Amino acid sequence: MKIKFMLNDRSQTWHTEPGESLLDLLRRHHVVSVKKGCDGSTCGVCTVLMNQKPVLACTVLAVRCAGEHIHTVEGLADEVEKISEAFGIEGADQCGFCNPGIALALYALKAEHPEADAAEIKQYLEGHLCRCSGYQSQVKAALRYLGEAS
Amino acid sequence: MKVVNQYVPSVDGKGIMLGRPAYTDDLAAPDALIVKVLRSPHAFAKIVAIDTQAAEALEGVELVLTHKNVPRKAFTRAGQGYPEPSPHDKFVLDTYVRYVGDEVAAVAAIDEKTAQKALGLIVVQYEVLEPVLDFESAIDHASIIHPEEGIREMFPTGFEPKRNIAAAYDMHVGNVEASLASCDVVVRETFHTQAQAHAMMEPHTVNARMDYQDRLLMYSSTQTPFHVRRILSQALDVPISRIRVIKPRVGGGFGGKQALHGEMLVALTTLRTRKPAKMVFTRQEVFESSYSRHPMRIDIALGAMKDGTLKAIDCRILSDTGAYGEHALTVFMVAGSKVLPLYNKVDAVRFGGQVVYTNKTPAGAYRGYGAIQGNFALESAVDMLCERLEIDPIVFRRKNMIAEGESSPIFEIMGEGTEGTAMSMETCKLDTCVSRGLTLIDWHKKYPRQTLPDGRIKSVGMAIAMQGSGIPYIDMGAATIKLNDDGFYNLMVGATDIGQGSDTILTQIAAEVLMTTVDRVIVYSSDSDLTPFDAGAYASSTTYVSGNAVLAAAEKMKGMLLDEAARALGCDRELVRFDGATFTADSGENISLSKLSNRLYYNEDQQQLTATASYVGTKSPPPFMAGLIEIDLDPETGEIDIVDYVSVVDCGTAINPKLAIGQIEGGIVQGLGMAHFEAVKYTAQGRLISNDFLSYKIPTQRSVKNLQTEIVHSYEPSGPFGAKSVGEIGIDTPPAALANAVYNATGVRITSLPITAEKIMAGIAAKKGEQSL
Amino acid sequence: MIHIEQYHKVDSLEEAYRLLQKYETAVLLGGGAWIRTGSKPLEHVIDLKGLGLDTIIETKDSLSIGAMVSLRAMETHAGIRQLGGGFLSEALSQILGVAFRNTATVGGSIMGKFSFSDLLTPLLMLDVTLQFYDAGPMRLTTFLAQRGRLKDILQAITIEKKACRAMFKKVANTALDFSIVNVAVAIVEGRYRIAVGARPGTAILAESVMAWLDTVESPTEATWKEAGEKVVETIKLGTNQRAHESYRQQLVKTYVARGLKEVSGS
Ligand SMILES: Cc1cc2nc3c(=O)[nH]c(=O)nc-3n(C[C@H](O)[C@H](O)[C@H](O)COP(=O)(O)OP(=O)(O)OC[C@H]3O[C@@H](n4cnc5c(N)ncnc54)[C@H](O)[C@@H]3O)c2cc1C
Ligand code: FES
Ligand code: FES
Repeated sequence: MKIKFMLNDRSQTWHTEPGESLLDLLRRHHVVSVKKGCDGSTCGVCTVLMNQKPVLACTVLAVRCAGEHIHTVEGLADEVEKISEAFGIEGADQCGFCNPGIALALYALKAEHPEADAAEIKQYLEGHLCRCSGYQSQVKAALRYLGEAS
Repeated sequence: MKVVNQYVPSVDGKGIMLGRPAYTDDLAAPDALIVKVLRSPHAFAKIVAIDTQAAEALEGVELVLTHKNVPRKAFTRAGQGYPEPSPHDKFVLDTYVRYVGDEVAAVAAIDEKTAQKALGLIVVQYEVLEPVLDFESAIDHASIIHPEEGIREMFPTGFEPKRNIAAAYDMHVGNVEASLASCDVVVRETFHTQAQAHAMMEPHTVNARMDYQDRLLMYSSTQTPFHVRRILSQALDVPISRIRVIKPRVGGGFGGKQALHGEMLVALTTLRTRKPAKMVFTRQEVFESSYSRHPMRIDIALGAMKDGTLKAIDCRILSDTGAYGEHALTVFMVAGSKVLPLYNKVDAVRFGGQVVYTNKTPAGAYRGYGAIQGNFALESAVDMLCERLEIDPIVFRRKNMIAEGESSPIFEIMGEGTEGTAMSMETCKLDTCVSRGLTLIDWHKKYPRQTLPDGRIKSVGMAIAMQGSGIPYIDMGAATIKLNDDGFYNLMVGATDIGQGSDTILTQIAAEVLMTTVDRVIVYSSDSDLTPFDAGAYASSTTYVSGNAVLAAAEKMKGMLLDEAARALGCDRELVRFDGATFTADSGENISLSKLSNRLYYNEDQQQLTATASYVGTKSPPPFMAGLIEIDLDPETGEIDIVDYVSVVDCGTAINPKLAIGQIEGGIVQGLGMAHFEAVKYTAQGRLISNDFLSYKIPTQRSVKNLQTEIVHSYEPSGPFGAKSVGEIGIDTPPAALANAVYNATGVRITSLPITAEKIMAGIAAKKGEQSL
Repeated sequence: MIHIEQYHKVDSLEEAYRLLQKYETAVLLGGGAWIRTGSKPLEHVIDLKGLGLDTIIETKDSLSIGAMVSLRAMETHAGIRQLGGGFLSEALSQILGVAFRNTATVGGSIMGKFSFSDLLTPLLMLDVTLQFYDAGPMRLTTFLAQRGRLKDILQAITIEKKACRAMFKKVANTALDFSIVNVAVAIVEGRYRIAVGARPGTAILAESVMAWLDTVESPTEATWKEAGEKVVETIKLGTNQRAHESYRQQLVKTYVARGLKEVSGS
């Protein structure tokens, strides 16, 4: 079956099967910022924005994206660059596999709650596993990004 | 220093966050065949018959591999020095399956659905055998896990497969028995550690294709691309010159990718079909069918005099390597060699034991590499000893621990599966680490415990640790620096950035020597065709070993530049000054680097300037640290809040302080996961139940409230700009520090990891029971 | 990738219901998060998206939450945040991460009757009615007591607003963990409620203890402790991979007593 949806503000009509996840659909079309870490709703590296809200691309069936707006970091480069600068300053980037997902979460957090403090950031990012950083530098980077952004 | 030891953001963070194709699967051919593996449902079985006809007949299936149609040549998947200390006990596919999740057959098909379907069509008849699941009864068990012919050790490692022993080792200094007998106080305890999962976020991933020269081109998410090339060539009988291995961006390794996982089957698929092929492990496969940490039973005895002098350490370990013997001996030895020298003033020390096979997920390299296991036992036992001696554990440690200028006989005796290298500690700021740590955590106010208004107990605990910096006389790193027109450089290294930031710090080292900025040095790692050899990212070697190679290559390049500048300026080389951008003769005449480069490539004295240097360590200077934990413990539930973890580290000069802190904090949190709740669970039949992130919990954002991490001032003369290593040390202290803090809070000594709330509560209940008797 | 043979996008609840009855193996698709965890191929999947079940309607006396409302939308709704000091929002915020909660639905979370549920336990503190397409209204407690699968469509849940103070405790290793056990305690219009979930069985009310508490004239600290003991005696707790029965007992005892103390304001 074919579905039509908006990907990074451009209309796309792609073939999918009912069982396919949005994650597999995107990666099949070489949207490689979206990673597969568990394929089971438990790690957060596949996060994308659906109608500006973070969702797990592995958990959302592709067919259900018909008519919806999906954003990945590829489509939000300006803001993501700011986030990456904050990560760079705090030394929060290591292997980077979790980073695109976290960037999208921070982008959404900024829209939802730009004054978030460290505790709120931690709670908001909780679904994003990172085995490298120990997390603290990520929170510092997030504070820096939100502070500079507001 | 302008670049080294300065704030420099990573050279690649931005592109990664922007989602540019970088990781192995991002680079797979879009039409790659999907390789899927049929895995054993039994812990131990012999394949009596295997029928692949139906699978092969399925439309879209290109290849089915079983033990019947693959080369049979024993190898080890472990990527380490060659000849390897790990036994060659693995075949591409075998007639035996030795753990639930072991490889039975592989299918390559046009898509995942077809591959999955084909797996279901393979009919296997097993003769189910009695598995060995309890590693403490593995030796001389009725079941022999490796009865097959053709397996072997590369040099004497104590390999006795008929007894289920993968490796064995014994050493001693002095007479331990006599020394213990003469001590005022002796403590003896048995500790158990679990098979922690690496849980790197990027699963094991590999893809292959035939390139236009008809060579096998592999992209592999590996820590050791050169070992991958060699092992593939040996096991598959393909000339090594016909294989190229590219290590793209790697999404975390922690030792788990210091081995071959899908490489064999994917390479075979491409070699046989001549088509691109790929494999991405499912998360379940990462848990069940890759690697874990070696679980160990550690029996330790410490003997001391009343005045607090530690006299003897006796340490006997049984280690469980699972179904295959990767890193069996070396991890085992590090549990002694990078732990016991912490207390170097003893009269006698003994260390030994065996590494056994079991029918479980194989164990392999894992950050800490034995040291975390050994440290848990030793540093827990030290606190136990102090209690018996009625001596403050800080005072005791200060009195007995290793100090700058000192040595330990262990360094000379124990090496990488063989003898070691004598060395004395040119840098050891352990004492500063301890005192600074005490201040940062406000130890004296909190030790041993305080009762909080809500009834919870605040307590502190600590441990000290050491690691190494590379493997002396074995692991080599090399670097090549190439000058380009306009005067920027390429830095080519075989050193493997797996997320630890080595590309950035190696660039910093080159930029510092060449007096330029990091943007003028373009780093590339690693590609077996293009980059010089490097053993790989393991054993905390990259900064120290590969860093030294980069340093030497950059110095060489600088010398070449001065020669050329002198020629261009028409004066003696000694009279040329270089500031990174301009060469000035004593006459005042000058030429910019950019001009000089263009001259070399386009105008006069044309030639390519390339400098290559190699480095192999002659010692392995240990980084040291003190780790201190503050917890709030709920005595009614056993739950703990990790309020603070203080790390004070002597890693020599931090080439990039932020990235070094990142290494430490990442290690601490990973270590806390092992210490507190990363529980590994098997069924009675030997199936791993904790095989996803639902059942195996790793730390999340809120698992640790606060981390304080400091690097003390220290300069290791043999390291690049004074650096030692920092990649592993962070993981070592959390288990013992937490165990000690829990003891300080409750009087309950937990000797088996993880230290869960339930165990703590059971301990509290048992203690209450004793008291009321 | 899961295998779905037929995916039904429907225009009305009526059609959804008809298909649900027509196909023995039909499954309704809420957020789909749980459905995806299964490995069996699904023959008929009926999507409930786009049928208007995703609104929250607040009146003076009640909150009506559509079955397709996401857990995150429920968590952040102002009316839910006000109920009983926000304990429902607190409970919801402990289910995986934000991105997950933006997908998983209230309907799927209730119809799954998950034994580990962090939503059912706190919901038992309130008077909750499930609105089914065919069966009409049904009390949450009745639904939970039923065995077998209900071939009906949950449209919404209605929560009666009542003066209440409540607490919820999830005991877990990390925030992304299933509950080892969870406990909700409330005082609703002067009467106590206690529920325990992830026992490992599905959440239930400790009714006899609640009744006993109502008879205690002037409860003290000792009453709370006794109530904790009684809950452990009357509610079945068990052993599974996550914890032994004895540890669950200890946790339930402790958190019931603490919860009662907290909600009673003593
Ligand atoms: C990895 C993971 C971890 C989780 N951890 C937790 C946790 O810690 N705590 C917790 O409380 N929960 C947890 N959950 C459960 C989660 O919160 C949701 O409850 C679950 O995913 C179901 O919601 P859903 O919308 O995805 O339902 P679906 O998967 O769409 O549906 C679940 C079931 O309900 C049926 N259904 C859905 N909607 C309706 C309807 N309107 N009418 C009738 N039947 C319907 C479906 O047919 C299906 O049988 C977890 C889930 C996953 C996948
Ligand atoms: S891949 Fe989607 S949550 Fe892990
Ligand atoms: S940086 Fe590696 S997982 Fe987060």
